[in-house]
This record gives sequence, C-alpha cells and structure tokens, in this order.
Amino acid sequence: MSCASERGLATTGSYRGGWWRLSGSALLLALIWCVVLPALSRRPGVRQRIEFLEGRGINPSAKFFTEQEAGWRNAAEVERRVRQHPEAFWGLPWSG
Amino acid sequence: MSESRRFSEDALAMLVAGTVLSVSMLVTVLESHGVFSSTAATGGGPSWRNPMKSIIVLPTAWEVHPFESGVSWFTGAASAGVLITAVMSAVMWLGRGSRGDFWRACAGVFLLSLLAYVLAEQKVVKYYGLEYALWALVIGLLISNTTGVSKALSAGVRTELYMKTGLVLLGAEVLFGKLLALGLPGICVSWVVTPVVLIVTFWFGQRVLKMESAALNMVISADMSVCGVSAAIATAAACRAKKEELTTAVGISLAFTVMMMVAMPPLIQAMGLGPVVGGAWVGGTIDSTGAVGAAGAMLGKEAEVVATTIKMIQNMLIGVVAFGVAVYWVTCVERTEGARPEISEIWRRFPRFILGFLGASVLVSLLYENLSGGPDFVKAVVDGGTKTVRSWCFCMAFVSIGLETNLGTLAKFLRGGKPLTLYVCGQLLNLVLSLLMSLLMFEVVFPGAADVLRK
Repeated sequence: MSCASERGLATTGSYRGGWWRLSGSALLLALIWCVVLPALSRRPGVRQRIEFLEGRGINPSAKFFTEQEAGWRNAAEVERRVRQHPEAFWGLPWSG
Repeated sequence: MSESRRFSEDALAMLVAGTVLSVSMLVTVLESHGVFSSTAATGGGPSWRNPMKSIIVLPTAWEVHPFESGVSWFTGAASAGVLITAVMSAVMWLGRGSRGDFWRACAGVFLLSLLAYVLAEQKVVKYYGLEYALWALVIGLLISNTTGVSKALSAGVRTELYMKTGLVLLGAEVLFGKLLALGLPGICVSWVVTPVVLIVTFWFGQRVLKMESAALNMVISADMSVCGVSAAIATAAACRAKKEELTTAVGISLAFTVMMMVAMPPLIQAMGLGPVVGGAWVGGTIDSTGAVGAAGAMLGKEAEVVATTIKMIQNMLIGVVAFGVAVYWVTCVERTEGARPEISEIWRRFPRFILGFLGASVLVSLLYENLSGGPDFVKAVVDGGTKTVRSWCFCMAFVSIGLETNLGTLAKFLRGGKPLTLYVCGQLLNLVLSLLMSLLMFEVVFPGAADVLRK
C-alpha cells in the first residue's frame, strides 16, 4: 500500500457539527442492527437460507477456504476421490 | 509522533507475523506433549490441538443481540485484543522507538474493529456475504468524515502494518499441495483461466479504458479474477495502491459478489448445466470464497464440493499473483522512462513482506505434506491461532483505511464510471472463459472426472 493517502487524517475539529452527525449515524446503525435485521431474520425465506447454510458449515462471508468448515471438508473429500481414481483426473484421453 | 525509522513497515509486519506463527506452532507441539493439559497422545502418532483456539477468538454469529450465545466470545475477543496490542506495541517500540502512547491508540483501533466484526456477525448480514471489511470501512469513514480522528487514536492508524502482518499470516494458509486437489481439470479451470482474465482485464483497462491509475486497474483486475477481498489486499500491497483505490475495488467486488451469489444458481439451473460444470463455473467466477460455497450449496452437494474446491485452488494463486505483480511493478511500471532498472534497485523497491508471505507458505506447505499428521498439525496451527489474528489484523487495516479516507476523494475514483466498466467487462470475460473451460474439462476431456465427482 502506498504510504500516502489522497489526504492526511482528518483530526477532531475538522468538521462543524460532527458529533451530531456521528451520533445520528450511530443511532441509525443501532436501529438497523437491533430492530430491522432481527425482524428480517425471522422471515421464513431468510431463516431457511440461514439454517441451510449453517447446517452445511458454509460461511458466505469467508475470505479464504480456511475460514469455513466446508472448505476443509470438501477439499478432503475431493482429494480422497482423486486418490481413488487418479486416471479420471490425470489421464489425458489421447494418452491411451 | 516523532519516531526513528529503524525498521521498515515490512520488517515490522514480518516480525509480528513471525512471532504469532512461531508461538502458534510451539504451543500446538507443547499441547500434544501434554504440557498444558493431561491429555497427551498415547499412541498412533501425535494428536494436534492448539490451546490458543479457546483463548483468542472472533465474535460469534448472532440474530437478536450479540450476547445471545453467552459472553465467552467477548472474553476471547478481549484476549485477542490484549495479545495483538501487546505484540504490535512491543514491535513498534523495538523497531521504531515509538513512545508509549501507541498501545492506547492500537487498542482503540482494535475496539472499532470489534464493533465492525460484531456488525458483520449478525446472521442476515453474514449469510448474505456482507463481510467485516465493509463494516470496518463504514465505521472508519463515519468517524473520519463526521468528527474527524482524535489525536489519541491517530497514532494507531497503521494500515500498512496491520495489512502486511495479516498478509504474511495469510501465507501460512496458502498450501501449495492443494493446487493438485482436483487434478488437471482443477488446474485448467483455476490456474489457466484466472491469469488470462487478470492479464487481459489489466490490458483492457490500460489500453482501451485508459485508466488514470494502473494500480487501481490492477487491484480491480486481481480481486475480480482471483478471489475477491483477500486478493485485492495482497495486490494492493504489492503494487502500492492508494487506500482509496483498495476501498473502491473492495466496494465494487462486494456488491457484485452478493448479486452473483444470488443470481448464478437459478441461471445455472435455467441453462441446464450439470452440478459439476455448474459448480466449477461458480467456483471460477464469483469473487468471494464464502459466496462461492453458498452459491454452490444452492445447486446441491456435488456442486458445492466442486465449487469450493475450484475456489480453494484459486486461493492458492494469491501468492503467485502478489509476487508477479510486485516484480512487474518494480521492473516495468515504476521504472524511469527508457531505463532498465538495476537488480539492486529492484531489490531496494521490492516489497519485502511478499518474501515473508511466500516463506510462511513454503514452510507450512512442507509441514502439511511431510510431517506425521501434517494436515492435522497445520489445521490446528491455522484454525487455532494464525487465522484469528490474521482476521483481526485485516479488520484493523480496513478500520484504519476508513479513518484515513475522505468521502470526497473516494468519489473521485469512481467518477467517469471507469472502475465499474472495467469490473463488468472483466467479469463478463471471466464468465465466458470459465464456462467454456469447465465444459471442455468436465464434458469433453475428462468426462470420467465428472462421473467420479457425481458419485
């Protein structure tokens, strides 16, 4: 990363009425996370999706395969099948 | 804060990551000999467990309030905060002679990261793939664009240190042996299509769209073609992209990831593609690793297994891409007009943390393949310690980026719509080539492999 950002850090006091705007934004976030999202998660379609993915050990927010149990598990399953049938995964059809 | 720069940020990051990796390995070995508990393995080889796993944790998923599953995650997260703050502060003091106020600022950034993580773990947010990077950026942006950053907190805004530490730790999760997990079809879908899409997209951005910033072009090309946010972080660090450029690339990638995660399964079903080809297509195209698993699962178990494996093989490209981009940048992009840079000049400008990343990867890959019970040992080291610290470091990096970014300058990078056009064109190419390669591999060249995977 470049050491230089487009501009330096905006320090406290750079903006007028900043505390009011920050408090308002924090309140809005609290409202969404404490009221709206819990209500959404009770909707049948959303609940079904959550339970389905939880049951499969899948984390849709994972950044790397190591962050979800399904990543390790599925890789081990595929590696087992490749070991059992190496010709299906490594043998080119024209190589006889 | 006045500091003597005795060590570079890269050296400090490697020191922090090296310490964490060594401690994680050491305590795993000691635990297997019963040093921390009386349950040492008695036969049939060592049973690897990492005691750090129960001490340092990430927040757990929640639905109504974050403490619904108890408070143990909070104690674990607090322990992680103490550990990370202590190690970072010690290294900063040793390496730069920083004054004693760094630890307070670092702890402040950690607390903001904790808040971002808690927001990301709400189940609706989590299971729709809106990961912590987004909320860390939002929190940082909110503070920096409303009240501004307090002087006490500003000393802890060390984007490069957190990001490079996280990247070196990520190296310990890049296992080269996994490249062969799906045989030749896996290599062709992941390691042939991906670099082609990356290079063609970058060329398109430079020559056709004439993007002003080559770094922004490269970060978008890499996160779209390789594996989303983690590839964006690695490439941005390798080509010294601006923080605003990484933010832009991550924002676009997250938006398209959610759309593709929802849209691709019904599209694949409508096209009548089988689970193996469909899974391979999902794995090769959706940016984020987690979203690939979710979309694959919607198509069935076989598709999920193929999709996550293809993505895992693509994950292994991160190191190669970061190294290639770093070399390309110091030799071609940053060179003086017409002059061929000397080896010493290349070495001087080369981002050294990449060597730490590759070193960690080679070491852990060798242990995975050659140690008795290697896969279990590596899983214990990664799952129990390094992965958790790495996730916290990336979250702190994104909070720091938010704290350093002005929304006005961010809008400048999106003006004219070139980043968006680049992403869409690159992703279209990715969709076409990945589909053709998946069909070629699993329907024409290796139909037997598809049969085995369908069993």
